[in-house]
Amino acid sequence: MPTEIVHNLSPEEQELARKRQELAILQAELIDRELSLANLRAELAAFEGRYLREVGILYAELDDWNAKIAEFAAEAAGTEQARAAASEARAQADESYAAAHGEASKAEDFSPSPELRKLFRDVVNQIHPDRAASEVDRALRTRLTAEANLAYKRQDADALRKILEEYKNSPESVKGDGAAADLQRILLQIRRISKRLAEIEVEVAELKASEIALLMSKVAITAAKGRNLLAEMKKDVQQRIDLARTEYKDQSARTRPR
Amino acid sequence: MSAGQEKPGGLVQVQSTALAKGGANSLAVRGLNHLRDKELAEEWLRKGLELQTTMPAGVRPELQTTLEYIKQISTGTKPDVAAENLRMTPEDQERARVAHHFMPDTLNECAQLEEARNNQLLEVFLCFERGIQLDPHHPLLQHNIGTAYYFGRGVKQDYSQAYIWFRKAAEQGNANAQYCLGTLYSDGEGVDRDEVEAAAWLHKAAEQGNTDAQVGLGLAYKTGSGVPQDYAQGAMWLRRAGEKEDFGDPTAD
Repeated sequence: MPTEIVHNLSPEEQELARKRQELAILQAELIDRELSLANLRAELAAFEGRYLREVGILYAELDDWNAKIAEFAAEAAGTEQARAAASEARAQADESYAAAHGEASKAEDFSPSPELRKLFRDVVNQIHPDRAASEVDRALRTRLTAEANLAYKRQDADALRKILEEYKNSPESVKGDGAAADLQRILLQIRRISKRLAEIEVEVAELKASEIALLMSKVAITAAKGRNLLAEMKKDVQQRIDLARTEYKDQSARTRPR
Repeated sequence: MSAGQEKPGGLVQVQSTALAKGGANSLAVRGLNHLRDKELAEEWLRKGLELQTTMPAGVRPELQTTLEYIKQISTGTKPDVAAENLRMTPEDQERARVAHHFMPDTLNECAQLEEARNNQLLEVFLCFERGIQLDPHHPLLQHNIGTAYYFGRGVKQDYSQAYIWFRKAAEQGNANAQYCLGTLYSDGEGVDRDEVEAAAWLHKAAEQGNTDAQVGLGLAYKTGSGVPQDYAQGAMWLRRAGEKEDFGDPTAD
């Protein structure tokens, strides 16, 4: 029984053992929370990509037609007010286009296999910055963790394995084995992890309250009832595009013969 | 959060991408607004459907179909299944979809449901008016206009107008209008009270199988209002009403 050994420890050693245990629990919790945050981010990014590809580009197209209509009207009216409205409409169309065709729209669907989830967990568990023994080690871990996160988002198992290898081959991975365990260091780690846990909670809350997350949950809830909201939205926006296109054509047909 | 400035997109230092992009976020907001409008429209249309069921039968069947379609899809029925249920043509379906979609625009103007209800009633009344201009002798339209005036739906309540329109339809043989006209005579609404006239119109409607009129006529015979008191006749009409509807006949035993 380990308790018998504990009885023989000095008060300082007992304190250290307690703190070590506390740290181990916190580390396990941290990895759990990091993983759920990473999953949430990746799911949101994937959904956002899908939304932008399916619906966002249609909004961009609609805005383009509306800008065309406004520009046409501005030319016909020739007033400052009409010109201002047209340039505002054009700016809106440009922004929608950039958003719908930007990086975010290229996110792939995120459905990691159980093996990939497990691999990512192992990697993060071993290289997390809050387990660093020194500042040099911490900097390396920080960089590799960032890379691991991106690799997980891409669902790239090979890259994850390489990252772990890179860490294991680095001199920093050999822990400075100071024979007397440093209570100070453990306390610092505990403080860092607690801070990071708080940061994660803040970010998860922010993410869950984001517009894209609200949209995602709406789509998921209605999907359970057999409805495809994204498809419905596509159809609706397409209908508005058709109307705008017709309006533009009518407008230009009316104005051309002077 | 200051350590990873040189490296974008990290698990540790960098804030979520989903929150950072203004453009993509505003597109998400538009999508959400779109869905909210849609939900409001569905809600409003559900109310409209409830309203519609209190309307006289036969009013704008295509609107009824549209509302029923939207009700079905908003409660989770697949659009093709709903269309199949209601035996809608592709054109019907398209009209329903468009009505559904553009309802938010109307909705924005209707700050309150009450206003929406009135607008709906007004719209229905205007349809009657347009219809009667096209076909001044249409008995069903005449009857419906009478009903609108009688209840003040979409037009100011006016019993005299109700009497005029019910009379037109009743003279053309519309059973419902005959029953309504009979009621106006017996209650003295829009016309001087006249039991004999009342019973005569109820009789016409009752003979056409109008259940309400059969009940009214049965009671008239029992009490001798407008007709000579006659229990046998009274019982006969009440029984005939009971044959069609599950009307508890108090004179049966």
